[in-house]
Amino acid sequence: MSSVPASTKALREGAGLAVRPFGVLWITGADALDLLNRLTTNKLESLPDGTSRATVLTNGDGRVLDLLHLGALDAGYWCLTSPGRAEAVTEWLDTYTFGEDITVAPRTGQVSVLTLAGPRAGAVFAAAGAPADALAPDGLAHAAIGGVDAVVWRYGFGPADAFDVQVNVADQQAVREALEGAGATTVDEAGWEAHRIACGVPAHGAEYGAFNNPLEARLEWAISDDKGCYTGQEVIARLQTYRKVQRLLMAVRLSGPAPVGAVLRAGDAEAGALTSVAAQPDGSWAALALVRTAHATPGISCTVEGAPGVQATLAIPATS
Amino acid sequence: MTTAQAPLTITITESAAKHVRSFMAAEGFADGVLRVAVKGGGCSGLTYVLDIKAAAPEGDKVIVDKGVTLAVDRKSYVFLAGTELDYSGGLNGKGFVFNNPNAKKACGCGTSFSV
Repeated sequence: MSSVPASTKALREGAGLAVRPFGVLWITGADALDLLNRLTTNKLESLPDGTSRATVLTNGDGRVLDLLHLGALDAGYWCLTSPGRAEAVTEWLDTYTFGEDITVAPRTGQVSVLTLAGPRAGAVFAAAGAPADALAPDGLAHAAIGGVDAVVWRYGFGPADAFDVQVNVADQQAVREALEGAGATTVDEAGWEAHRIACGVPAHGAEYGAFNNPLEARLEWAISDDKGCYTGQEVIARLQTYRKVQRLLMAVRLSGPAPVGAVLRAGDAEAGALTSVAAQPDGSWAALALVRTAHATPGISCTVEGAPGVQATLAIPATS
Repeated sequence: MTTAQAPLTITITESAAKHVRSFMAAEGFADGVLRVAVKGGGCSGLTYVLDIKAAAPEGDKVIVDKGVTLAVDRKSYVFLAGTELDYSGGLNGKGFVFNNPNAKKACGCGTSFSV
């Protein structure tokens, strides 16, 4: 929990700019996409140059190793992992590589990713000299920003477009200044976190990870149900077919502050637990929670253990 | 007390060997090798791969059993040591079957496993 900086308003009303601690990998090789297709949940039989796709790396039990964002460009694939997950993803891919032509090169620490988000993000981007309209949704391309060659990803984040601007670390300051000069407001980590939670976007370690399957975190949008076998597919298909998903990600509106991990109670029943909590610019408190499926109904009101008097009202996350 | 250890090699049953020889002849590789390998993927994480080759690729471990030459790459061998390749024929048969002592779990169709 933390207080929310006023700059978070930029993400709602203008264009916020945040440095994001993604893990970054550069994947090349004739067999790279085929291997990723066999090991992850989304359909990756082809990924044309200039397009991106999210996919979940799962183990044989259908548990989440990470949500990956893959972007095809310049005869290779940029892969954005969750913060601190690049090494684990690399080791996993290496374990399951048997003679395939694939090279996974670490780029975390060499490449910096800045996210520009909010209703005015596209306009700010254009003012910085990189017309957003030239970039298709879920596309990526080179763009010159502040005289620097950047790789820009466009995708939806919450109610508006977001742009990940990927540059060499040495060029980060120049790009940041160019975007600020075009109207972006810098947002710190706490501010971004408040925005993520308000948008209902799950994060590794909080809403998904080795402790659950991607369906609990509502990552269906990154799962193909007709691609055939991939690692974890049998478990995930069974959970879907027989409706056996035990918990679901829910958005929570809190009447006051409460700690992450606090148990939600619906009457006497344990309904779930808070996974992320942040104050919002309007003084309210937003949270995410993994809630037992039987209680995962919009409008249900819960009490919060460890937060006397605080009421939690459940809703479907905005991005679901 | 001693416990019996599975031999750290790959073996093939007579039934499987007969079918392999038949496939080799049909594909014009009567003197070829059966490449046995593992690749990442499949429901449980690892998938068996069988292929007929004219000769064993360089660096492969080569095993001759029941008159069939088996070739296994070094990394796959780690997951296959002790495996018996069998053949399940007939109307309800499954075709080639891997009896792999390293496999802790297999998917429903039997072609994918985890260790």
